[in-house]
Amino acid sequence: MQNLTRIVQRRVTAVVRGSLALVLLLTLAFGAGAQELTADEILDELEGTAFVGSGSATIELITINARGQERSNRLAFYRQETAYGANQLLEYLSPADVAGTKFLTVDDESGETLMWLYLPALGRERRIAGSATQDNFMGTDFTFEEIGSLGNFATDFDAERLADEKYQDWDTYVLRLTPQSADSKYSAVKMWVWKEHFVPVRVEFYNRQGKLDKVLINEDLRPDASGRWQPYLITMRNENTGSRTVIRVLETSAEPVPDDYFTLRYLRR
Amino acid sequence: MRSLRSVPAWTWVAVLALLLAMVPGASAQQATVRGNAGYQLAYGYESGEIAESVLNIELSLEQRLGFDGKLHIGFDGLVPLNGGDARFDVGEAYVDWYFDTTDWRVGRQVINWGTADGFNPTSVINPRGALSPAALAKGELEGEPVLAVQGSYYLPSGGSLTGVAVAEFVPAAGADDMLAAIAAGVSAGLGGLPVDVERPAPVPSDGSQIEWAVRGDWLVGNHNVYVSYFRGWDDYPAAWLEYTPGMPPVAKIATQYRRVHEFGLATAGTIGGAGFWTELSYAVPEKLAVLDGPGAISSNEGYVEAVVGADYTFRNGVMVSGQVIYNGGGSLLMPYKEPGAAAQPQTYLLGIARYSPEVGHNLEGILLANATDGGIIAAGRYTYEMTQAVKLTAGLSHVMADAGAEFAALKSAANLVTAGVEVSF
Repeated sequence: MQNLTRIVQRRVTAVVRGSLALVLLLTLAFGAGAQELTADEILDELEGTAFVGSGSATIELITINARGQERSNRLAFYRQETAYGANQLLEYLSPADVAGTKFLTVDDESGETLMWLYLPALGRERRIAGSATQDNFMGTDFTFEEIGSLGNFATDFDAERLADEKYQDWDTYVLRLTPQSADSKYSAVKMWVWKEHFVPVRVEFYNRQGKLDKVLINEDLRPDASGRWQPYLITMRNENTGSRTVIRVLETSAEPVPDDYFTLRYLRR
Repeated sequence: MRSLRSVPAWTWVAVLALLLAMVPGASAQQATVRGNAGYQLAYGYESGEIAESVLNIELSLEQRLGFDGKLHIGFDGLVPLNGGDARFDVGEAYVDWYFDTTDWRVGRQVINWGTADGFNPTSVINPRGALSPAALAKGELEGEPVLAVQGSYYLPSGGSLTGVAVAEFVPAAGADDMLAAIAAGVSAGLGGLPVDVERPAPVPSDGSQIEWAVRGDWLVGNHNVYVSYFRGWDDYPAAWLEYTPGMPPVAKIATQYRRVHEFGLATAGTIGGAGFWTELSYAVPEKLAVLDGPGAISSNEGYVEAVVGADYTFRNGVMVSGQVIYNGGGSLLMPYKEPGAAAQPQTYLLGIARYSPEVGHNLEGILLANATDGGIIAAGRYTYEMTQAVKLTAGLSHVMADAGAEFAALKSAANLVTAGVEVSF
């Protein structure tokens, strides 16, 4: 029982965060052109182009601790736009000890997100509670709050536009975001957004003491098969622990994913 | 007629391999082989002996087939290093077929039903041993695979109906030891009179051994609801004490397998940020007249088993879960009672906590308490993921129970220090 619980809980936190990290990929992937915009309008562009469409991706997720030890997981991700939000399925492809694990999320008509985890060793699905998403994702440097907030900048943050900057080779808008919730673990978020395609290329997270906590960097920006620009290399670096998490996008497809993928039936196979 | 149980497990592998060979296109698909190997050492600090020193290996092969389906074959091996025979078994070995609205699974399989963690009263198809410290430590939750056909029909509304037919009856392990312990106690009470335990007659192989079950599941108000029914054989034989006065008197424990109805209801959902689940079953065993007598060790009465549980993960990453377990049939550790005594329903509290302070380091604790007599089994474990494929574990379990409490007898077996290593590939 102890072992089961250990397995379940570890997979829960891992898989849940995995799905959310991939949401991040999509969030940061899409952009649209604009000229002079306010901070809120820039956020709206991010918000309006996030979580759009259906498709699939294969990614490699690598965690690297301060001692340089690496762990790698390969995952398949499927997403489907629905009238109530989105359905998402995350499937672990490797390594062996997690392969076959699947995580399904469904946005229902009440606005609730239903989540199920399937572990091959358990042989049945398990409902997952929202609180299980508050841990780090698979020991990575992503947390639910970070991922969730990236998807909800316009609603969860007050935005202020700072002076534009040249960041590496990109002309960027620079935004300072202040969380509206006093419960947020961050006092501020600073974001560099590539003007041409509205892709955030750097995001800095500052803790409640105003100290830089984490840095998200998006690189290898290029259009996918559908012409949408997205980062194929995403790095989240923890400034406190020295650890970092790297997400490599190996393959993407904009082909619609069949409805069957987002059912308990597919989960059980 | 030859009992299906007597057919070697390798036979099922051969049958499945033949099926695989007959499937066009199957050989073109790449097989996936996964497994793990490990070593586990347990030292009983109460008994002063090594309780366990075993090598174990698990291997599974999975291959997509030419049609929409897959083949799965699993192997388990156990090599005790401190005595005992090595064991290598075929685990699950089945073929899946997926059709438009139905999915089929044929072969040796484990069918896990239920929503609770660790103790699932509605999961009754595969034989399961009684809850034991070893099971607590190892997480041996899957039952013994059985030869079965499982078909699921998926409703357009999102629910499903599942039917299962089990071709063989596989009893739960451990009944012999439990009854031998009861016999020893009876013998002591009779001044050392020998008390034999008769083994039950096998379940007939004329078709009446077939067990079947049905389950429906639906989403009701964002809660998964599962309703199930099982008709088959009780995993443990009914038992009673027979005492014949005379010179000398004769005493023995007689046993007999009997059929049982099991009705089940399980739910799983969320309330706020917490997970919440319930599981309820009602078992109605076949009545045996002899169990109405003074020597009954099993009961004729139906009984309820129930679990209510919840879990929550705090922002700092600490996960806690709690379950209340009610067993109207008596002890979770043993399905029998003292001869002639009434079954004493038991209530248990199960608490679990887990925390990962750093990547690759995991702490977990479990507490099982008998709410009636106050006995407690506590266990903790630390896991270090040395590399992605290699895990080291160290654990401690301890029993706190007064003399006469249910868990008191476990002290010598469950007061353990454990260490292990596992390599996955």
